[in-house]
Amino acid sequence: MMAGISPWTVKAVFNGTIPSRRLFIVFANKHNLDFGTNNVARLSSTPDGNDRLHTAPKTQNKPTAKAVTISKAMRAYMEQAKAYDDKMKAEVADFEIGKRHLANIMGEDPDSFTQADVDRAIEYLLPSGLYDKKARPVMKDPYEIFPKKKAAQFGLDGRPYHWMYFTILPNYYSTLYEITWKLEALKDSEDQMRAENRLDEMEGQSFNTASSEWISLQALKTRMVENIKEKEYNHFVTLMERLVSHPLSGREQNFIMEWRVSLQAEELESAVPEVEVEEGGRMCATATGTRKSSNAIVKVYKPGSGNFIINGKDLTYFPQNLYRETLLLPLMVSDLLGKVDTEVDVELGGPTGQAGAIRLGLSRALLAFVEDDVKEKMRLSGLLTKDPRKRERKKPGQQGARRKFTWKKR
Amino acid sequence: MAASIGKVLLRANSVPANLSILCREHQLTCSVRSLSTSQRWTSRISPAWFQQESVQVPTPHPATDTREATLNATLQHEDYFGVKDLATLRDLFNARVHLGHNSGLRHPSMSPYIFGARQGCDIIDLEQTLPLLQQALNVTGHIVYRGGMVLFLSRQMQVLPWVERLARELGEYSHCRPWQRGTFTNSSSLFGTLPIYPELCIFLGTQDTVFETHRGVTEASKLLIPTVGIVDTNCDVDPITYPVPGNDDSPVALHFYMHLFRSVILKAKEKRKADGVK
Repeated sequence: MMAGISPWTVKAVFNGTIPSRRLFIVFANKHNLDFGTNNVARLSSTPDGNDRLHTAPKTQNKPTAKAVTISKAMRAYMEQAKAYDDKMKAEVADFEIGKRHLANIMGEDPDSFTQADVDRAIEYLLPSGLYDKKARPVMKDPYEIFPKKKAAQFGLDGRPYHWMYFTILPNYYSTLYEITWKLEALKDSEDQMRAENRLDEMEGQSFNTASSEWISLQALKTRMVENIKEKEYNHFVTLMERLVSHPLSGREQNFIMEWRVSLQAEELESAVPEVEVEEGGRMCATATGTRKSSNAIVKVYKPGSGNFIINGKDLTYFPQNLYRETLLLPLMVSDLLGKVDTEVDVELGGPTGQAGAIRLGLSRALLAFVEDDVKEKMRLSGLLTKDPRKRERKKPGQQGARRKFTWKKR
Repeated sequence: MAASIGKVLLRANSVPANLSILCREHQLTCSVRSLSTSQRWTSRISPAWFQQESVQVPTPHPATDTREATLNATLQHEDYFGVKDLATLRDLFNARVHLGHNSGLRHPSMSPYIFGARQGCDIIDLEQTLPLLQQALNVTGHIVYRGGMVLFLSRQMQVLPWVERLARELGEYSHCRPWQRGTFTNSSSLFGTLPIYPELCIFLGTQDTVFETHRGVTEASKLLIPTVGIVDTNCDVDPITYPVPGNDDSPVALHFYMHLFRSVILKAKEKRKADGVK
C-alpha cells in the first residue's frame, strides 16, 4: 500500500515520468503549470460518435442512402478522442483507489475523504522543503492535472464550425471583428446625430473607465481558450481603447464590461468587517493582518479616546518611533486619530513584521467606520494592500540568500 | 466531392491545342516551373474557350439522374450560374477596375494584361479582365455547388471587416488576419488535427504588404489548392490559378468584387439546394 509513495516513486517522478498510478502523486513542475494556457474546454463527449466510427462503411463502393461519409480529419479526431477518454477513465479509477488507500493510511473513513483531506494527508506524508508551492507534491483529480483536449472544431463532413477557423485563433479574431462592427455602428450613429444637429445629446454618453481595468492576458487566454500572445493581447487592448474613446461608447457598456474587471470595488466590499454593537452602544470591528511571519488581530472600538493597547502594553511596546508612526498611519489617513480605541494581539516575528501586521489589520478594521471616498483614499495610499514579501531562503553554497562566501583568488 | 471538384478544374483547363500555341514563350517557361503554374497557364487562355459558342445542354433532372450525372451535366452547361449577366464592361469601368499602379511598379508577369499607360499610370485591359472574371466566378460557382469550402483572403485594412462579414453571411470562411507561416503547409501541427484545406481560396488582393506577396498564395500554390485572385499591375500572376487582372486597392472596386462573389455563391447554393445535390 505504501508503494505508491515510496522514495523510489518520488525519484522516478523527478525524472519526468509518472509510473505510479496507485496514488497518482505528481510533482507539478513547470510542464504541469502550463496546462491552462493551451488547453481548452473539457472534451465534449461523443458517445455516439465513437459508435459511428465503427459502423461507418469502410468501402465506399456501395453507396447507400443512410451511409454517413466521415472526413479523414474527423475520423482521426474520433480515434484521438477515444484514446484520450480511455486514458482519463483509467486515471480517474486510479485516483479513486489511491484516495481510498490514502484515507486508510491516515486512519480516516475512505467514503467521506474529501480533496481537502487529500491535500492535508499529502502535506503530512510527503513534507516538502521546496520553496515554490507549485513544485510540491500534489494529488488531484486527473482532469485538473492532464491537459484537456479541444472539442472537435469541425463536423462529420470535415467543414469547420467556425467561419474564422483558418486563422488558427478563431475566437480571438471574431471578438476583434465584433469590436470593429460595434465601433462602426457607433460611428454611424454619431454621423447621424451630427447630421441632425443633435451633438449636445452626445455629452455624458461616453463610457467611464474609472474603477475598472482590462482583463489580463491570462484571463483573455482562458476566456478565448486559445494561445494568445502578448502582441495579440496588446492589439486587443488597443482596439478596445478605440471603442471606449468614442463619445457614444456608453451605449456599449455591457459589452465593454465583459472584458473589464472592477477590482477595488469587489476587494473593498469583501474586506469590510462586520460591526458588533456592545453594551452601551459602543461599536467594535475586528480584522486580522499579516506581514512577514507576524500575525495580528486588531479590535477597533468607536467611540474612543485614542487608547492603543498592544499585547497589554501601550505604544511603548515598540521602542522605536518608526514603528509607532507606522501604526498611526491608518488612523491619520482615515482621520480617526483620537476618536477610536484599539486593542491588538500580535504574535511571532520581529518589530517590523509586527508593526506591519498591525498596520494592515488596523486599516482593514477601520474600513467599518469610514465612507467610500475614504476607503478609496486608503486603498490608493497602499494601506489595504498586503505586503507579499517573505524571507528569502538561504541557498546552498552561499552564506545567505544572496551573500556569497568570502573568496580571494590567492 | 474532391473528385468532382477536380473535374471542374480539368474542364476549365481543357483548351483546344491550337490555342496553346498562342502562348508566349515566357509563359511557357513559367508553366514548367510549378504544377500550379501550369494550371494557371492553361486557365489563362481558357477564356477563349469560354467565349466559344457551345451547345446548349438542357438542365439536368435531379429526380431521374444520379449525383454524378447531375454534376457532369452542369459542367456541360455553358453558364450554369448566369455569371455573364452579373457584370458588364461598363460596370467594371465604373468600379474603377481598370486603374493600375504607377508604371514603375509593374510586375513583368502582368504585362500581357495591361492596355497601356496614361500619365505614368498603368491601365488594365478590361476586355481581358471580363472573361477572366467570368471564368473565375464560374469556377467559384461550381465549387460551391459541389459543397466545397471557400476561403476569402484579403489584407486590405479598409475593407477587412466587410470581407469577413461577407464570408460569415455566406456560411464560408475568411482569413484576413496576419498569416501565420505554415497555416496550410504545416497545418496538422498548428491545428492539432489532420489538415483541413479549403477547396478554393479567393484572394481579394494577392499582396500582404505593398512589397510582399501574401504567403497564403505561395502555400496554396504548393498544396495545389485552386486560387482565384484579383491581381493588380504590381502583383505576381504566376502562382494564381484563376487570375483576374484588376484594381485591388480602391474600396469601390473591392466592394464590386465582393458583390459579384456574393451573388454567384448565393446562386450556386440556391441551385445546389434546388437540384438536391448532397
